[in-house]
Amino acid sequence: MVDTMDREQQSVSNEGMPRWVKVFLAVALVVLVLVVVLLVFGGGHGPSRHG
Amino acid sequence: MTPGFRKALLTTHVVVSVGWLGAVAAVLAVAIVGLVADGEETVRGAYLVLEPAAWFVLVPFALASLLTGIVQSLAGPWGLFRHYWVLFKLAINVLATVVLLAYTQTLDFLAHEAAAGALEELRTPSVVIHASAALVLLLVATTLAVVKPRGRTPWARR
Repeated sequence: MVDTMDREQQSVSNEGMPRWVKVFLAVALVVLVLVVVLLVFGGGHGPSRHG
Repeated sequence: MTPGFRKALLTTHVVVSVGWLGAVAAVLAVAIVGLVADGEETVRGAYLVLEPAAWFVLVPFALASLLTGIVQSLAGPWGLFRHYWVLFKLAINVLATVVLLAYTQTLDFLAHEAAAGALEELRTPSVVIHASAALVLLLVATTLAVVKPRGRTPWARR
């Protein structure tokens, strides 16, 4: 099972970064930017803003 | 590592990881009650429950998921950095655990306000937002674990 897994993964590794990885990273980047914007312009974050 | 021990470790990892996901779903439900309920006692009760739920369920499950995931990845055939799906699961787990540990401060504060009867501070969507985000992250991690999409990282190709 490990050999089969390695052969299948090897055939993909020769093609560079898979598309799903690029999409995943792009979505993660968009979410990160949104979170940063919300934190910077959202008017405070965390329990300290109540104090 | 013997096959029997590896299976036991994998079983533990699945149990604590899916348990973490279930606990987050329960926390989300309680948080929604705390946000929308009319009764003062219900709102206060919701936030008084969230604090121990975080410390006694969420945090232990999160740390156990991270630890068992790392150990079995390093000892198993997939490795920790060789395949994208494992690497992304690790990143999600670390991110969710770090944010959870930081967020316990907010839950402690809200529980304190609930005990003091300060209802104004409790009408916040914060817990709902954070629990929803955690649920999405853990669902993505679970999907990656089941599907195991193909793709080896540059570290695997060396």
